[in-house]
This record gives sequence, C-alpha cells and structure tokens, in this order.
Amino acid sequence: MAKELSPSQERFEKEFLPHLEALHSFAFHLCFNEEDASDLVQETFMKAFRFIDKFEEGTNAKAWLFKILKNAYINQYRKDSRQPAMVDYDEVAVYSEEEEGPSTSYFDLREEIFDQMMGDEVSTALNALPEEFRTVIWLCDIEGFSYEEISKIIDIPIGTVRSRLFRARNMLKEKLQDYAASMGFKDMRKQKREKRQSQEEE
Amino acid sequence: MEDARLTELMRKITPYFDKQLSLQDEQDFLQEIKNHPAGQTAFHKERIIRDKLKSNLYRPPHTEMIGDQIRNRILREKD
Repeated sequence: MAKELSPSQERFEKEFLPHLEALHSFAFHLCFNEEDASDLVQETFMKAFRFIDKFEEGTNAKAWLFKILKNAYINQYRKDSRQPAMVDYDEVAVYSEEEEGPSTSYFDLREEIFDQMMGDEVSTALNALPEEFRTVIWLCDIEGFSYEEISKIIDIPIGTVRSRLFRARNMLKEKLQDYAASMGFKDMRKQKREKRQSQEEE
Repeated sequence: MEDARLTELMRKITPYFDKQLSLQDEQDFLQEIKNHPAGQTAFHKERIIRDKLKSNLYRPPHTEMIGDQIRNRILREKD
C-alpha cells in the first residue's frame, strides 16, 4: 500500500514539483551536461524540501526554486568547471540607456529563418552567449519572469537586468542573423540602411 | 506625426512582452496597436519570434525520472 504523504510532502508535490521541467531545462543550459543538470535539479529540490517551512505559501515558488538552483550552481558546479574567469560586463561596458533605447525587440529578425532551423540552432546560439547573458534571456524570454523577479533570482539590480537583457538580445540576434546569412538569407534592411547612410554622408 | 506615433508604439512592444507596462499602459497600448496596422505587424512578429525561440530550444530528456528520484530521496530522508 502506498504511504500517505505528510503535509510537507503534499505541499512539495503541489507547489514545487510542477516546476521540475522548467528547472531541469534551465539547469541543462547552465551546465551543458545532463548528469550535472540532473544532480543540480535534485539538489535544488532537496534543499527546497528541507527548507519548506521557510517558504511562504502563496508566494512565488518558481522564482524561489530558480534562486536556489542558481545559488547551488554558483557554489558547486561553476567552481568545478574549467571556465575562464568571469568578466563583469556590466562594469566593463558603460551603458547609456538613452543612447541604446530602453529595450530591444526581436521583431527585426526574419521569422522565416526559424522555419529553416533543424532544432538545435537556437540552443547553439543561446549557449554561445556568456553565462550572464544566457541566464537573463532564459529567465525573461523563456520562463517569463519579470525584471524584479530576475533581479532577486540572480541578485543584481533591476537596472542591470535591463541593460544585460538589452545586450544579451542583441548578441543572440547577431548570432541568429549569422546563422540566417549562412543559410542564404540576405538582410536587405542592412544594405538599405548602409546605402541611406552613405547618401546622407555625400 | 504618424511616424512619431508608430515609433512610440514600437518602443512599447518589448516592455509589453517583458511585462513592464502598468495595467493601464498595457490596456492603452493594446487598444492603440489594434488600430495601427504597421504596429500590429511588428507586435505579431515579436510574439511569433518569441514563441519560436521557446519552441526551438533543446529540452533535456528524463525529467519524469528525476522527479521520481527526488520523491525517493525525500522518502529515504524521512525514514
């Protein structure tokens, strides 16, 4: 006969486990390794279970789990991997939101390029981004967290979330456009823009 | 005038999808974009590309199995 679930287990099943797939995908895109991703996810859920009393019912369980996972990754997996030293791009690059605009959209990409993709190209393009940029795209564009939630999950100010997202999307678009160019798509808008600029200069 | 209106609408597309607009701004934006063909085209394109980004990403297999492993570990820990 199946054992009866304790109230904590019931809560865990109801509030936490529905986010398992989202956590697993995020973990994989941090570690690039299925075994590590599985360990990281298990560790995250075990921690969440042990500290379930600290979690306020009705608050954002998914964001809480993502924060635990991100911290576990930083503490364990990143220090074990042979990644080069991380660079704080936000400190290196001085942003001016006024110059760059407050946001960047995807709609200037050609949607047909996605129809030509075999499945892995988007992952490859995203995975090629430095971790800080990959993470904000994942949290915002894939998981739909707000800037405020992302700021709490990865422990950076909201302004940094915004500027990092701006740069990350531009980097991703560049990679997808390179892919599109390799598939034979021509970005006529870029040519038109350059032609217009040269006419203005004359 | 029309150009400025379109620019303003385009500028709000990403904040809309990023859930950065207030409820009122969101409603105003949706109402306005409905009446603006060029804005509407960009809006739909943004939505389609975001959906395609999500659906084209690799998802690791065996998630169910991990769920079972977690449940077993919890049971062991309790015992």
